[in-house]
Amino acid sequence: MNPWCRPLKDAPTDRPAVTLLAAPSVPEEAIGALGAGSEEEGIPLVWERLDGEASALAREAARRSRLEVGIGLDGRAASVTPAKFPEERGVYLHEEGPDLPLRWIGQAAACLVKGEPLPPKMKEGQSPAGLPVPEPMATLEEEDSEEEALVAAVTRIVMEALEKERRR
Amino acid sequence: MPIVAGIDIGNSTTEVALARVEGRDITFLASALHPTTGIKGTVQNVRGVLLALSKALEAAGRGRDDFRFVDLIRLNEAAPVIGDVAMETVTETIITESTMIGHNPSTPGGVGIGVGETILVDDLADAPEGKALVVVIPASWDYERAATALGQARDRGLAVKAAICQSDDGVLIANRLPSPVPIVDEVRAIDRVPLGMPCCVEVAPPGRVVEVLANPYDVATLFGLSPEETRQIVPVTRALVGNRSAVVIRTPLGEVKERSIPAGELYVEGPAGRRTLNVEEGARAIMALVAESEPLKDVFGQPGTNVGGMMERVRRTMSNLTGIPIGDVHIRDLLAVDTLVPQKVVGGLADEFSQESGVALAVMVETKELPMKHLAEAVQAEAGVAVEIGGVEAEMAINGALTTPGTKPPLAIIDLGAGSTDASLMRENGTVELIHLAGAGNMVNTIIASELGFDDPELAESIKRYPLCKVESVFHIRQEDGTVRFFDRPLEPHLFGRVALIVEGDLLQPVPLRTTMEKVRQVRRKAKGEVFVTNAVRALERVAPARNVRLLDHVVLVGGSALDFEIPTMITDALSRYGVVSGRGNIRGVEGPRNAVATGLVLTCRRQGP
Repeated sequence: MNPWCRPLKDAPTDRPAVTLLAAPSVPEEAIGALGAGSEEEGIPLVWERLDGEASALAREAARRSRLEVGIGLDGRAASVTPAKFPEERGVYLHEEGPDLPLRWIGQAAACLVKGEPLPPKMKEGQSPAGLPVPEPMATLEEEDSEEEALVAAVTRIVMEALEKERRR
Repeated sequence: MPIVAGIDIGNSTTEVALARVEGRDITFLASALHPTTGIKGTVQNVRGVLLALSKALEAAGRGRDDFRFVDLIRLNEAAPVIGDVAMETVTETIITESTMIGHNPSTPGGVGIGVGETILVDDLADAPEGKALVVVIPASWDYERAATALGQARDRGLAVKAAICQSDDGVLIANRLPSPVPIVDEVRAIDRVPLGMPCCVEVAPPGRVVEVLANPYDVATLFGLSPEETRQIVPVTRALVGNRSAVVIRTPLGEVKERSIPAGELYVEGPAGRRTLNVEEGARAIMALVAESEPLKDVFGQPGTNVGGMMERVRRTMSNLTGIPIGDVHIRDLLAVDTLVPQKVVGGLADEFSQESGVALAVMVETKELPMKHLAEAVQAEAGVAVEIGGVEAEMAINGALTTPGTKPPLAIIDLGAGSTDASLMRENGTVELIHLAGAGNMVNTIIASELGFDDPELAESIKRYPLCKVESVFHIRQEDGTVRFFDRPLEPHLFGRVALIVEGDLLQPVPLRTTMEKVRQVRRKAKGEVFVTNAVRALERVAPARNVRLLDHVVLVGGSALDFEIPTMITDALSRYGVVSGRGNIRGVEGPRNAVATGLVLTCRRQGP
């Protein structure tokens, strides 16, 4: 049994974890994919079956979680929410559609626990394992350096001409 | 009852002061500002002038296009100076002897050091027994399959010491091995990892940084390097300092081709003739040379180098804008600031960046005269109002600054603009001296952007302008002074856990960089200090009697950058050491540091009479 993602009944009750409540229709592979996301971030996850709709499940899960972050998963949607999130505002994160970014949801829940920025979102299947989008760091673009080289060459020619002019 | 509009066209904003002038009585009706259109002093400014004037008219309760209400427009005789900024990288990391991976993935797997020969995970089945191996795992292998393959290899007696993997699966794979090995993940260019080469993978425990791979002698020990080879590995170890995980692969010589850009020499022409300095010597040496060569006649860069290119670009821009031949455009001041520039490591495999040292240069170009007459004629034609060119900008600025309560001549002002830092001094007898220095708000932006490693000019402007915070929970932020602020509504997920800018009240803008609040704050404050505090002192030294700043009494800060939340206090603090009273101006007691020149233009019309 993977200690990072196991049913609530098999987990020691004193161990802090993110709680996932999954509707009965949710296949176990989906739970595994979600668990992989939080495991990679180093946060354990416990799960249980409960019937309901994703956002209601997430709120209930958050109440049950020692880390005060809950995930709700039904057949078509996934929600993540912190325990103290005002109910009238729904849930903090909500994703729905045919290709749920399950691993991302798991990662996002873990980041919510850790107080770290949420990972960049990737649709499942778009990239084999959700490679991160690079942070906008300055990269030397090829075009730029080519242009620079051209400018430098032209400059050199002009400067040499000017220099000659000056000497005269 | 003539209505006079004083209009000041600056590098970044056009400001208007609208007043009713009756003999000696002047009643100010409205002020307005609008971003300058085009480069200052060119005919493109007309649109900005009219828009600014429309705003002022509206504020005075007139129609937006009621230009006829105005009897006279007074434009400033803009100083013929324009600033430009450029970054010059002095050092560059090029790896020829080895290949390294040092990109700092957020969650590497396992802990410790693993040394072995690189092998593709697909080839594990054919690997000979007993050899120490570092397994390379492309993203096509999911973590379950990869972990199983690694486990089976071990069962067959292969010594799997570490792994390098393409997806963000390091922790997942390590957790599934019977005894975990260090795993560096998120290596995008996994196909470029050389196979069959000696390799070392190091993952430090959480909260620690790599020690072995950041130490040249440890790397020498691991790979059996000669003293000469150890010297060549230094750029690699230096680039890995501060990372939690790293990989060094020893490759045959010459896998990565060397390329180097000479930083170039700077030729400074002063009264004593031309002097030469290599940009590599850094900002301090450059500034010492500039100070010795005052007043500068011109500055050139070595042809064919980056610095040569930059100097010529400035000249060309100026020449194009003003129609003055390139030979008549002279660089009259230069400010150099040492910076650290994150540069992509040549020969890295995961888009690594290394902190290289660089020099930011701002230059001030002076031409014979800006074509203000053309501009005045164009404004007159467009607005249908008489336009005259007022006195010298410095004199106008001082006259405007003197409306700040608590000031009297002799008075020095420092105009903290976007393109230049200008200083002027009005002596008791009313004579005015003026100088223009290179380096102002735009240079601060350039330094911020390059030191934090991005190239979005708007983000740089925002980082300069707004205080920072860290979003610590769904409901609270910690501000840069350490205080906590709570919000009534939950903060958006895109802000969560991030460093953000407090734009206004509750409006936060995330800083999309992988960095800490402390780092951003330190870069921002250093950039402001090295540009504005340095220039404030430099400027006052130039205008002060006997070049002694202590002999000045009052220094008023005006201009757009004087609105900044920390620059004026940084300058006040620095100048208090000279016993000078300095502070942000408050034009007419209501305008703050804005509108000095425009106000001065209106006030001086009383003397000259419309």
